Amino acid sequence: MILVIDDEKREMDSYVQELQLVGYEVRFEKDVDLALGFFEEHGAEVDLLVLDIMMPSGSRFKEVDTSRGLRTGLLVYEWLRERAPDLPCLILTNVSKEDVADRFRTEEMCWFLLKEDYMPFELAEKVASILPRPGGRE
Amino acid sequence: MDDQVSQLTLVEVFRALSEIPLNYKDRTAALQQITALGKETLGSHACTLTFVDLEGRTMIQAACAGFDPDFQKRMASRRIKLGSSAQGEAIDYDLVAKGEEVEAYNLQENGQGIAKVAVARRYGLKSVLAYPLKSDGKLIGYFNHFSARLERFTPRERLILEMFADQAMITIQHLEDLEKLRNAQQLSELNEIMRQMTEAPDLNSLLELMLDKGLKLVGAERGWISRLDPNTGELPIVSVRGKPTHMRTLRLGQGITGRALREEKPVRVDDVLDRRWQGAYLEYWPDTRSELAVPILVSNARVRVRKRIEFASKAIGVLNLESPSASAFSATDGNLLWSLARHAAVMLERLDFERKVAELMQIHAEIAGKQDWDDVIRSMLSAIRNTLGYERVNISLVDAERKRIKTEYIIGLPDEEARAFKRLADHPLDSTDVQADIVRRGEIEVPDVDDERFDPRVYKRFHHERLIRVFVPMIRPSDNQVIGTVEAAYPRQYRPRIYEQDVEVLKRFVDYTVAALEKRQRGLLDRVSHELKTPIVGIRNNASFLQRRVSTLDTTLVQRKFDDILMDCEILLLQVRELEHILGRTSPPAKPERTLIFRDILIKTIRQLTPLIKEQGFDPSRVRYNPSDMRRIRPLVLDRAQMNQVVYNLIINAIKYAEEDAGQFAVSIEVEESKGAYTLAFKDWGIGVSREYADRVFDEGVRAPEAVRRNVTGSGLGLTIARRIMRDLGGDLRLASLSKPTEFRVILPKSLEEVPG
Repeated sequence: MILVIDDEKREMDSYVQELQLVGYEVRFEKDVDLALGFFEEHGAEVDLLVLDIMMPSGSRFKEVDTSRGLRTGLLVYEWLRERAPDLPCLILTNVSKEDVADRFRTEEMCWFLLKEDYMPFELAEKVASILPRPGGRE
Repeated sequence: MDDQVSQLTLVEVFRALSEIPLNYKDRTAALQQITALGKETLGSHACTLTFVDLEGRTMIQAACAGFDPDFQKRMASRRIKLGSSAQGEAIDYDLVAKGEEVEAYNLQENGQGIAKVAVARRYGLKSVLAYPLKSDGKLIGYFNHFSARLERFTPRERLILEMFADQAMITIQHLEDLEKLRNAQQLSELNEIMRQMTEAPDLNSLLELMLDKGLKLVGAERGWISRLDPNTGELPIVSVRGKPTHMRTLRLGQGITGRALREEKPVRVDDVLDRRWQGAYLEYWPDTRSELAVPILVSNARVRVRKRIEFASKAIGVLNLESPSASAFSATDGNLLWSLARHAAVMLERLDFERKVAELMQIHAEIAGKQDWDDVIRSMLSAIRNTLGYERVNISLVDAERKRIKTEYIIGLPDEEARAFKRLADHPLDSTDVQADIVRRGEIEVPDVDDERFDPRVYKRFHHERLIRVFVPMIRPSDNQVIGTVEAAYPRQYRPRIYEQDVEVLKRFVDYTVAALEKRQRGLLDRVSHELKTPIVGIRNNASFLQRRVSTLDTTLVQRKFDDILMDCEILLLQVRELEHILGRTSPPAKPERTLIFRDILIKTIRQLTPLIKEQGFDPSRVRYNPSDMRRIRPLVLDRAQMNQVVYNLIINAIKYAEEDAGQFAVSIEVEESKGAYTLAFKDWGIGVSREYADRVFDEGVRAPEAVRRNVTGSGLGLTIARRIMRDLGGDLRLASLSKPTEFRVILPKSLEEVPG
């Protein structure tokens, strides 16, 4: 299963629909609290993570300085990484700041992708290069 | 000064200068130290200090640095005749007598005076910048900075020379004071006290030290120090010795104390019982017979007058000594303490400067941690008032679009008056008003009190005749644009000048804050650019998805994709307008057309936002309005895109700030009609506006903390722009209720109604 965490549901619809149409099971969460809650329960079922960076902090990181949401994705990433060191993660974001990108570029099993560089079918291809499509549809 | 380091270095240099008299043994050696320090500070190839004797038409070479020791020895105390310009290497009398800054280039071809051609060639001197030294307005000499370069002196070089020479002048004056004292024992005691003063950690300990040592120096036991409160003219006692039976607070000019400070010289009273002192002497001790009052003042403080620097004294306080014996104080005592007081004044100024810089550094740190524009400005205002001691401070900002400068923030007036001030202090940028002029020129200025550029309405209403004011342009570092002005004022009755030391601290603080504001604005741009990408990527992804899969999708999904695309297009257009606002661009002229508010604006906007409402899990039918009420609004002539932006922002805020429980989502739009206007009331039952943010919801870039924590993005400009649009239309946008419901009221003036026929 692919877990997609992004606060912009409409924007992510095409990506999620494309991934579903090529055969992946996708779980979309637009809220950090719900996403982490889901992972706590079903982490073992998650094969790949697609994560946005700039998101509201939710109550989980309420007391942490997220630089107006700019660091929320990073906090979520670190939280998940502690629990699933080998989980492949695609950081899919509109945040093109170099320092943010650099933070992820050195990580193992982690790919930093700008949304502007990936159309839905291109994201599906990228995912397929990491996680084989179940049943090989399409 | 370009940076922090150079300012701190100069403070060190000033400290070193003020310490020269402490080790005073002989005058020539002390003057030599000044030139050596000057050479080091200015990075000069060589430096000289010359005194002028205009009556004797000569210049006296007092000290020099950068030449070989033999030459320096030969030159010390050498007199140079001043001649007419036609006399070859002789210095022109008229030029010297003018007492202005002088510069000369190509000395190896046409050098004069000490730097005659042969000397210039031998020591590689190519150009010179000479700065006049003045005492009480009278020219006493020049400090000369020689360079081995032929290029013109830079503004920075000029500024440092000016600052150094002014400070050197104070030291020279001390040396002259010391010269007058003949008693070697007293002189060495005085030097020791001055040395101890230099080490005083703060203002109070310096004053205590001055009083104790001053008493001891002249063998007295009772005395006190009064410090001038420049706002009230009072001279409260800050330190006292010898248990007086009466204590009173005098005013400037009152009693012997007040007289000494007003006349700016020591007042010595041999017998207070003498008829000539009756009424002037005010009793502190019943048996006092003699008194010595010595003013504590900086005699050569640099002050800003219009755009120029001049010199004036700065009154600080008075050192008073009394004795039960008649004629207890001699003229020498007066001179000794006068010298001590001058030194103390310089030390006090320095401590005051250091305190201000240190306090502002702390405020810099606070400002760096602040997130929004408004907080930064408020910190700036209170720092200028509390740390720099101005009574009233206001900040006016340039509105590039309307081409106006308007006071936006003010401190030091009661609320009601502050509002009136803001209403009146609003001028076109091309007007003759002083604020507009400061913006155009970009220069710091202390206008004369009767300057013609003051707006008489503001001047009269706020009693500006009693204030002395400094205007500092707020210059954005990235493009040197003047974005506004800071005006700082205090009553001029007892402090009629604006001191340059304070102007420099103020200028640095304003520059720092403007840079911090710009950083915040860049942050705003980052946010907006992120938000622009969201709909663009959305449109492109939907188009790509449709292109590849349209034949296999069901029509409902295809329709949804088109709705999304259209909505993203609208969002994009609105965001581009926000971006234009941030960049200060003038938006395209309004295109007024006949508009039915209900059909052309309200319905259209709600329809556009439906996908977003659904995305949030809310029910679009809970956005309610009464169509027949709405239709009461007669056709109005206005720019639809702008009006659409206002309504869009209000509805989108209701969505953004809705309660998390989707069942509670509700928006109600009601219309009210009055004689002159229609009012559209937008009510929602979301999380509301906290009281703390109520005054600031329309401020640029302000977003409530809830917006950051919740699923809310945005640049924080929506309401700012919406209100501006409404005001441009002659109407308004107001926050009428904070919560349950939160109510925004859009006022549409009936003047917009279509004229029949």
